[in-house]
Amino acid sequence: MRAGHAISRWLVLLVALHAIVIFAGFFAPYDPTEQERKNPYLPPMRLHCVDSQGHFHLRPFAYALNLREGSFDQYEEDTARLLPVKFFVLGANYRLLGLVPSRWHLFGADNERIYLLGSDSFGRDQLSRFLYGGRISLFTGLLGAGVTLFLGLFVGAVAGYYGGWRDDLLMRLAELFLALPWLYLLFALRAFLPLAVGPLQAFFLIVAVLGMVGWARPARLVRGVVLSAKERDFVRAARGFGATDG
Amino acid sequence: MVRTARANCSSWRIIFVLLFVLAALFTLPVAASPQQKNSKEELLVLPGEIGRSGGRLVVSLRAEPKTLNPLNAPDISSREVIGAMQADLVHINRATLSTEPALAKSWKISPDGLQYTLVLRRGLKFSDGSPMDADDVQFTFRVYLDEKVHAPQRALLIFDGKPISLQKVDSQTIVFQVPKPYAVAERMFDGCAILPRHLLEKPYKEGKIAQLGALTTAPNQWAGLGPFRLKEYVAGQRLALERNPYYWKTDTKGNRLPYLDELVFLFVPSADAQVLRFQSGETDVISRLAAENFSVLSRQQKDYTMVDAGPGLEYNFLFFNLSDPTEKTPADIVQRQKWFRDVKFRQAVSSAVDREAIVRLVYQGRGAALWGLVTPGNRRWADEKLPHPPRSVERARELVKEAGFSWGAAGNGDSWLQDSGGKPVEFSIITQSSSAERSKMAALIQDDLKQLGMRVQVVPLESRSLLDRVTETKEYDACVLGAASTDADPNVDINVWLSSGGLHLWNPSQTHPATPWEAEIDRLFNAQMYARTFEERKKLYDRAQEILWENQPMIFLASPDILTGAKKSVGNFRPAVLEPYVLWNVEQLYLRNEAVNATR
Repeated sequence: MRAGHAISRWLVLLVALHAIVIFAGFFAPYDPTEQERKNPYLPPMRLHCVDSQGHFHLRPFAYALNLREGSFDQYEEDTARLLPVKFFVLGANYRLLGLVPSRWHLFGADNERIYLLGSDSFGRDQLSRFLYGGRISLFTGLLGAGVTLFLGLFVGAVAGYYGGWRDDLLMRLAELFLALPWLYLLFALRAFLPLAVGPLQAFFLIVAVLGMVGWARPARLVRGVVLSAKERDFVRAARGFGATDG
Repeated sequence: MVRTARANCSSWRIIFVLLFVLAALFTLPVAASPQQKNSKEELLVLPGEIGRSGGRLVVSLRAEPKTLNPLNAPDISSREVIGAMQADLVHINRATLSTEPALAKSWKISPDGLQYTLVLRRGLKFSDGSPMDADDVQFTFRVYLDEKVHAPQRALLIFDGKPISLQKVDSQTIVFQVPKPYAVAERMFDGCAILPRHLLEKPYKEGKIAQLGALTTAPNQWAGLGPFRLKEYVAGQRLALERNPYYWKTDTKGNRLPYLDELVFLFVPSADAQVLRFQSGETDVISRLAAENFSVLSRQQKDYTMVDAGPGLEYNFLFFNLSDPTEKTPADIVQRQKWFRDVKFRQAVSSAVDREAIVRLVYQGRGAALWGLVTPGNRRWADEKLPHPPRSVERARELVKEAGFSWGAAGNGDSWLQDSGGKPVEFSIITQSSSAERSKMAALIQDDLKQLGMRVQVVPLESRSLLDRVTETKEYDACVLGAASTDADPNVDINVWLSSGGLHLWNPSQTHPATPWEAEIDRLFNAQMYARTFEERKKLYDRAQEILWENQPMIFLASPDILTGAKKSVGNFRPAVLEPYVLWNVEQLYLRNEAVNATR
């Protein structure tokens, strides 16, 4: 029971993470590609509740940052300029789930941008980039594994259940896939594709490639399981009663 | 009596002449050398700080040099090493950018501008001790001009399709004949290292000369006239050079140069690793620093002399594919070329590009925004009349509108640019994946053009496949690239300017100029090559720069500063904006007191 409880806790965390990146447009305060060129290399802004005079603020705030004289990436907090964090603000356009146009964001600041994780060399918000980028990192893995599992299950089950020439054909194909030098194949694949691939195409391409690369091993595993399962008593009994695969 | 009187008279005359010669010798700085007294050597005296002899200077190279052979050295590393081992007849001083006597102590130009008479120094010796004379010069230029050798120097020795010719007058004097009076012809001698005939004549006759000069060459099989000679090569690690005892320069106190006993090149493959080696004290000088690393090292000012030598001659630019489509060109590229061929489209892009942001974000302010090919580092040749308009998206919008483009609304409230046929303006910019700076520029341009409504994708490519696309297959839309002039004089950029040139990147190696303005640039550039006075050349070259600006085949972006550093112990450290930035005066570099003792 205890193990099950721990697993469900982690499951909740994983689902939450995926939900956050799916709704990145809402959780991210800014457009991840928008450059604020006057603010490159900002450090993460710290959130405060007590200001430099010791006054308590209910609404958390960050201090705006000023470039230190004679440097390009050293900033110091400007204690005169408070950026209170506002929730549910209107900001950059995005499409929720790629469909619903919206301008609502979870949080933001009024006049200046607030960089909770700092900015990169072009002055783009790292937090927003992190959330949008998380989409690709999390979902290529998930979808890739899904494709792998689907292909592996299908091929393995067919090979194990029917046996004979189908088994031979599919398993030799699997061995061929295992033996291919994938790195070079990927290079070759890249050479055939057009020069510029859009981000969405690139995403599905990665998923497809991950799926294609990985299916052979699970297929062999599944085949073994199916081979042993189809000889078990209940299966035989079912066949005896006239069950068929057709 | 009469006879004796005459004899007397002539002997007086001889004495008089001798006295005169002596006086002349003393007024020449050369005569001040004590080593001069007992030899017939005519050494070159270099002004500058007097250094200490001895010690070893360690420099890092990004890659192993491909060769020691000046006849086929395409890469930076090879050029750097060869620069320390070889010498030329007339040299371009990297600090003043003007020509100076080197192996030739003087040169004279005939009034018609067709004959250059060069007089060699007396007593010159190769680094293996064998004497050098006019025969070596004759041999050298025979090799450079030989088509079968494929020396890159050959192109600079051909004028209007005709090669220069030379004739030996005596063992010290050579007359060069140029086919046409040519502006600053003596600059062509820089980079033509004089080759040792006694070592290379046999391989040349056997047709093997271009393959010589592997790093594994035995030190006694290789010789040059530079300050250092080959000592030892350890594959993958380092190349050590030792002092050439026969070098032909001294300091003003008469000490024979170079000061250093040894010059060691370490092979350090990445820029960051180079900085780490420098910080750990393994290397003594560093050049080609990125702005980030320069700033980091500058914070440790007490240990290092960090020098920002100002904008160099490197220029970075964006260009569109304006080549003539062949049947192999993909149809979508041909379609997009219609936009690129419109000068208003290119001007709009130029106007939308934020050059100041490039300088600030890519070079951290250590660079200069560019509007033309000649960088501000090249003060003599840059055209001050060239307009430097600030970035203006409004102006860019006007220009694309005039060119017949319009904006269509996209679903989420943004608007995208489309051409008169309603096709959205979408293209890709290829750039070198190895250059972080150029990739950044492309990303900035991508965002700049987004504000015009253009959808741009940046595709980083490996350098070789990028050049293959640009010069061979021509399958690309636009490209961000950089180049550096090897000399301040415009003539070295001939391959960029002329429509027949291989580096005329937007449409390379044309048989006929594709456009009237390219024809006009060809005419102006050729005219300036043969113009006699600087003022005349400058006027023609300025006009060529202006035509380039008006037509924007290359949209110039920025030029980085030359950033260099050395340990405090390195003396005479005077980086220049011309290659080799730090080692150009390697014969004068020295290690101060403590450092010499430490290495001994």
